[in-house]
Amino acid sequence: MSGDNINNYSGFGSIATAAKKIEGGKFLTFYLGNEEYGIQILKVQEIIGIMEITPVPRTPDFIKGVINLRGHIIPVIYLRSKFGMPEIENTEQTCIIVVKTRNLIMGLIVDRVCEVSDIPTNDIDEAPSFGTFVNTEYILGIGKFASKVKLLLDIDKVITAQEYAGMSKIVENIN
Amino acid sequence: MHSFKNKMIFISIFTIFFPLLAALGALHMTGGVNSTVMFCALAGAIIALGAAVFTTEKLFASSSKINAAMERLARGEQAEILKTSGDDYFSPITASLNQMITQNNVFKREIEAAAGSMANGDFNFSVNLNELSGFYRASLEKIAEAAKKVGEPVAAINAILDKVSKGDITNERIDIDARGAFASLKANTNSLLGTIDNLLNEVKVVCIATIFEGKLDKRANVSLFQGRWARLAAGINDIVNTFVKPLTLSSDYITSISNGTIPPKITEEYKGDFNILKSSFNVCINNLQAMIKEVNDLTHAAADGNLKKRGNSEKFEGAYREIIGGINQTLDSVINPISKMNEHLVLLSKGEISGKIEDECKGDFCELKDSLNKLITTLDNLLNEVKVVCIATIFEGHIDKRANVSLFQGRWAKLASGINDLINAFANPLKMSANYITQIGSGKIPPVITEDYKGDFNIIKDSFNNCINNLSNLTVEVEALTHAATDGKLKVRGNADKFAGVYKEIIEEINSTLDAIVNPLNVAADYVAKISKGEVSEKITAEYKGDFNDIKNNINSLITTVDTMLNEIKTICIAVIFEGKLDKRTGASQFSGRWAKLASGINDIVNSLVNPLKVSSNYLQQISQGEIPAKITDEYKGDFNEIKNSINTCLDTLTSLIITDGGAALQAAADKDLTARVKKTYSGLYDRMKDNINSLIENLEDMFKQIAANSENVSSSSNQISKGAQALAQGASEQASALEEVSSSLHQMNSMAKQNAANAKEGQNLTTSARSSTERGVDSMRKMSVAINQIKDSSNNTAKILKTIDEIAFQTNLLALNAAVEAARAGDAGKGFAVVADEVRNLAMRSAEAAKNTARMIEESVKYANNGVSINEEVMKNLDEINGQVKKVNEFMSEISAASEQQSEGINQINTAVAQMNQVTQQNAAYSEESASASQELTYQAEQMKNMILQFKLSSVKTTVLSGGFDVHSGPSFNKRPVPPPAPHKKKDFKDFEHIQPAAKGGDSDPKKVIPFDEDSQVLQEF
Repeated sequence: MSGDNINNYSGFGSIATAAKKIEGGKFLTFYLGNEEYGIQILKVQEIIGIMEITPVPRTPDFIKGVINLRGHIIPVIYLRSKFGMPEIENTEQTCIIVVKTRNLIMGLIVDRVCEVSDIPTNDIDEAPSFGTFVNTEYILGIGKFASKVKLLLDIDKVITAQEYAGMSKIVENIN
Repeated sequence: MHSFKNKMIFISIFTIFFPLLAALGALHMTGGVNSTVMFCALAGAIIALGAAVFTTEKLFASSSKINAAMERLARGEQAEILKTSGDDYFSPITASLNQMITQNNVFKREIEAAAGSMANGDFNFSVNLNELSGFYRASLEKIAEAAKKVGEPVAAINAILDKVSKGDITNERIDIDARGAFASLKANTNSLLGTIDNLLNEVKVVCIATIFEGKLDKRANVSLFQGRWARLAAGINDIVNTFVKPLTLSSDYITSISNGTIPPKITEEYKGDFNILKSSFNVCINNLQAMIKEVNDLTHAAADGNLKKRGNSEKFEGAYREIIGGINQTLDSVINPISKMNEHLVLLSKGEISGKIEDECKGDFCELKDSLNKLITTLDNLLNEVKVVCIATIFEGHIDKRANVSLFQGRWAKLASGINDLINAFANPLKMSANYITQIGSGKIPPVITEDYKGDFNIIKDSFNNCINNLSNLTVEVEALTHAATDGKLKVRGNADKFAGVYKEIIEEINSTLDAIVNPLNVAADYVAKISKGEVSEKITAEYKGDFNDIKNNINSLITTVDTMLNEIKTICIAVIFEGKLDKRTGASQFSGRWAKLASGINDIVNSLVNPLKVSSNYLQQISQGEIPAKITDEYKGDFNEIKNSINTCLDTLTSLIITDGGAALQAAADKDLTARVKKTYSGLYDRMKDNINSLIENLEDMFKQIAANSENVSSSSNQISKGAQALAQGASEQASALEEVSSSLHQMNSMAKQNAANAKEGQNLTTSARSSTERGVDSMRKMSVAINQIKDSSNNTAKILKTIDEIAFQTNLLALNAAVEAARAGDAGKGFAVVADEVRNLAMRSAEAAKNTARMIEESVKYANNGVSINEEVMKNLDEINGQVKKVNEFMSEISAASEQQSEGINQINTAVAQMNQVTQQNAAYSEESASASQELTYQAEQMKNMILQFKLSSVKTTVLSGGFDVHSGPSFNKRPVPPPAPHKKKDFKDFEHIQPAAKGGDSDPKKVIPFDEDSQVLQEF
């Protein structure tokens, strides 16, 4: 299902032309469903296995709750929900990628972490525009590989400012 | 001297320096230095110094002499008198020193003198005090005094010791005032004295006790002494012991010897004189023992009556020899008178009262001799008296004669009075006995003696009483017998058992007299009784005498007559009745008187009976010979006439029945005319005979009619039988062949059944092994199942491990990624680290991949294992099924085996049955052959019978009974059907049957050949 969504998005991607070059570098790639995503590695704090998540009431669906990461309470975002993908059971490979964005450390639950791949600038295309009704702001670019693509996420934009504020509040409240 | 010199120097220096000091002091006092003064002072000082040195030289020479002397003195050496130089400063000193040396020398001499006296034991020496003065004198005086003081106790002790050494030990003790060592010397000496005193006392006590009082147990008290003194006391005790022990032993020995017990020899070892003592004792013991033995021998000899035995005094010596000699003499002096007395006593004991003893005797033996002489006199008197009494009583019968008791004394008197009493004791009963015997002799039975007697007299009394009783009883018995005889009771006898001896004989004699009378009477009575009862017995053969003989003869002649009569009658009876000799008669002439009439009467009776009998006999004889004689015409009377009439009637009836009427009918029947009948009427048995004859003829007729009818039937039936039998024989042979086939089939079947049974058994075995194999298979499968499950389990475990590895790989991957993130953060510096992290990650990925692969493989293997388990279960199930089926098969096999065995057994039985059937079939065949031939013969016989019956004349014949056109009247019709001659009919056994060739049978169809019985039985046996 999630694949379908993505395909839907990519279905419109051919119109876009790369005006702005996205700088290449190391990306931590991970999977949600069958699709591979990438995050700039400098945004990544660390990767941990899935652990017990304490749900926080009255929070949006994509916020799974909070975890205690070595004494720090960090919110955890269920990226599938964020990307409109259905929830699945956690597997052994389910991981939390701890990222730091706009001074907020948070966890992203992904299906499985893939690798740290070096993507040269030439292999990165700009995210295609799907029109105004589709917000592709959080996509930094699309890394190209032999036969498939990796959506390189701008993690700062995955979480909107409002959401960010909410989450900050949660963290504050908890702490 | 040196000190003196030093002193001088010191003084010199002082004298030198003093002016200096004075000068200096003056200077100081004046407070101004005047060099002249100082110079003066200095010169004065130098002068003074020189003077001082000179003076000092002189002084030094004198003082060195003094010094040397003083040094000698100080060393204790004798110094010589110094020379004095008058102007010397040291002269007074020298003088004093010389005086001192002198005093010293004198003192030394005196002291040496005193020491010499003291050393020589002289304490009471005198000293020369004149030359000495001062403390030398005082010292010497004191020494002399001290020596005196020393001398005093020594002298005292010496005195005491002198006394002691002389044996004068008193209670005196040293009683001087002694001090220090002398006090202890005094005390020691006193204690020595005490000890010696005690010792002496002890010794005294012991001596007094042992020597004067004989108390050998007394010993010195050792505990009172110490050291060597104690040893001395113990030594004294030992000495005493040494004496006392042999003494006590000797004392004991002597005591026991004096008590008469000879102790054993002393065996202990002693020495010196004690040993001599010991051997003396032993010798003494030996002698004593020998003497005792000798005395014992003598005593034994004396006790054994061997008064001639004497002791052998030569064996002994000294006092012992004297003792034995004395004993011998004693024995001689005792035994000689005794043997003399003995000789006299022997004579006395032999009844030879000799004269008085005249031998000379001494002492007690003299008294003994007198006593013996007295005894001889008394005995002589006693014998005389006894002789007198004996002669009076025994030879002269004067029972009243008694011995004169007054002649004797004491016991002898008692003896004489005893003899008198004895005679009295005999005389009284004798008198009484004489009285009783006199009474009995005169026929009076006196009353029983009731007086009391004793001993033998009592026996005599009892004998008398017995005699009286017997006589009384005898009288009573004889009276009883007499009464019985008068009452005719001849069987009564006297009871001889009641009596004894002569009385018994008397009664027995009376009894035998009665027997002699009564027996002949009884015999005669017996015989008469027997004759009266008809029992003619033998003649009396016993011998009797007198009148009894007459009686006997008469009875015998009566017996003879009766006997003869009876014999005659018996002869007639035997002849007439048993032998039928009616002519026999009695010989009347043999008898006389009435006996002759009796005989002729008997003859008459016989005659009157015999005549009619003879006529009847004659007629009956003729009738029995088949002749019917003419009627009897003679006249008879009474019963004999009736006999005649009866015989005549009988003759009539016989004539009619045998000849005219019945005879005619039987004649007709004999002529084959069965129609004639007996017609007249008869009575009784004759009527029945007539009826019987008639019914015989009628029956014969009926029978012939029936036979005629039946024989036709028989003929046709036998034909049919013949055919049937032939068919049967055919069938039997067929059956026999069929049976052979059956037999062989059965044989095969049997072998097959056997094979079946064997196969079934084999099958059973196989199935059993198959079953065990399948069971083993099931077991193996079970094991395999377990093994697979284990594999599965271990695979699961491995899978778990793999999962762990996977997790580790995942974690490693995460780590590697984190490392990569860190490396990236580090920028250029982290590039190497990034490479490492990448490699680590690759490794993690690979291990994850490998774990995944392995997991997959394990999963597959688990799947296969599961598959294997299920297949295994299936196999197990199948094996179980197989096992069950095999079990069933096994059961079936065993059932088949059992069934086959049963079948085999059944077949055996069938075989036996078939053999029996075969036999029966053979028999059947034989029987059917026989019946065929028998039926043929039957046919022939039936035909013959028909022919025979046709010869009879029968009253009427029902033709309907006869079949097959058989007609009684058409006799020739029989001949139209010629009956084949019957086969020679004989009883055929099985063997014979083989030779018969039945017409309906082919040569091969002989049942015997068809069924080989012997073979078959063999087969059966094999089976």
